[in-house]
Amino acid sequence: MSLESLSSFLSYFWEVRFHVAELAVQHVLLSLMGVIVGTITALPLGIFATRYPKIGNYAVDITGMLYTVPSLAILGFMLPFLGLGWLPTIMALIIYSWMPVLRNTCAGILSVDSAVKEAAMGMGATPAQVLFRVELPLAFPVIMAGVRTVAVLTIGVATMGALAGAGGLGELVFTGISMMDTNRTLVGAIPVTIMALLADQLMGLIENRAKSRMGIRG
Amino acid sequence: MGKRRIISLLLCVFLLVVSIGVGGCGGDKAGSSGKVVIASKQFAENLIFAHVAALLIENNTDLKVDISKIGMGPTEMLHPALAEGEIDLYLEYTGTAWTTVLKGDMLHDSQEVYEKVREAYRDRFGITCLETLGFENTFAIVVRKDVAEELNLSKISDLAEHPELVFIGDSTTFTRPDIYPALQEAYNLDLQQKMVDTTFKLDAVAEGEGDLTNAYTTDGRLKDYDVVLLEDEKKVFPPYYAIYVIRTELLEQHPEIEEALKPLINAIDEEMAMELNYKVEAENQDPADVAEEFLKSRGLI
Repeated sequence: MSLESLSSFLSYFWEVRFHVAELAVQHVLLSLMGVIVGTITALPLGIFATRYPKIGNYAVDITGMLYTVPSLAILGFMLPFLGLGWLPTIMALIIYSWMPVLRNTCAGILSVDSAVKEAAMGMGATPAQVLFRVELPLAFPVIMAGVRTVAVLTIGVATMGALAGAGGLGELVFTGISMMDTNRTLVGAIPVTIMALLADQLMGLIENRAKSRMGIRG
Repeated sequence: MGKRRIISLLLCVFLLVVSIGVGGCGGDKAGSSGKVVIASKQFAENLIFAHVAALLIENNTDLKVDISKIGMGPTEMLHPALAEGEIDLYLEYTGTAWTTVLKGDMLHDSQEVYEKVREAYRDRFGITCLETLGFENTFAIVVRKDVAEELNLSKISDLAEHPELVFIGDSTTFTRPDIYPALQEAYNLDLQQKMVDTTFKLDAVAEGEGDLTNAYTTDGRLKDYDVVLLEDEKKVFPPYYAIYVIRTELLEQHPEIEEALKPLINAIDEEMAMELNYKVEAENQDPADVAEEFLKSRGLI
């Protein structure tokens, strides 16, 4: 990148900074909703899957398949039911977040040493206590790694919200690409990258906090 | 930790810039592979007529065609690719070439626009414009019926009093000089803007995500939606006749390409185009199949 194009990029960024900020807020809200609802729905499903592996395997397979459907196709599928706008976009983000969270929840819980669980049960712990006091805390680092993946992924995928009329930084990216306007594309894409990195850092911080509180050394 | 993050951030940005740069100019020069590279925009009509050209060339000459660039992107991408020789042929519209590529003023005489585009393409880019296929695909501003009735809208100028209305556009609508900016200037509009993918524009209006959009006049689906066409009383949009644009160098080496495409010149009217588009847009048929069926029905392959 020559100095000239850098300065043209910066002056363009300055010119549209308020618009970028507005789109960035939309982007964050979309991503946040996707990650939160996605995690809340996939986590219990993951626990369920470890208890009933036969049904659980189907759940893992299905979410894995959904994960491979292109984003525009998902939006097209949901159009008759959810229409356009933020609702189908968030729904698509939720669908994409299922697979990593579900997989990591299963893997985390199944990796807990059965001797530890038996010891807990031997001391008279109820199944719920085993789950909440033994399995989930021990599986926490693995589950969290899944959620962290999802956070970064969702921020990236949320760019397609622009194609469904939900706004977000994708508007700049897609208009930039179709106009062959590199400045415009970068003004959209760089904040997305920064956001993804920040989210990753933030999740790492939360993870460490929680670990030390639970007395796990990761 | 902090340092590593900064390095990875810089790497990401770097990769992004490089990939955009490479994406813009990568690939072999067309012709060197010995195949005619056919490209198109991303909507039904353009896809269909790219396949029509591909089938005609493949069936009626000894040349091979490469159809992997069909559906590549809008004019802003296709034109530089054609001028650079990465692709060989696509279907353009005179008005789009005139305003988007040549940045010309708004003109309204279709022959004048065609002549000017033809000369400029020949002299400046080494691109040959064949004569029109015979149909025009211009923009129609359409409003959802209930909105039009409630606010009593029938002309585009009626929109000036309703800045609360939401105009649905795709990734080029609000930036291309001949679409929204042209309307904005001519009719003094200041509407709300919302972007969706091209495919969803009419659905977005029908679903109430917005109130109006710019549709193509040959869009086969228009009759399936409850929308009202607004009169463009100032005739803002220039004429958009469909023409094949081809690299002149290739055409000189292989004049049989022009010969193969000749049966299409002035042979397709708006109704025919709309009928073909409908098969893809509403009946979800494959553009390649629609193209083949069309050519067979005309006895061209």
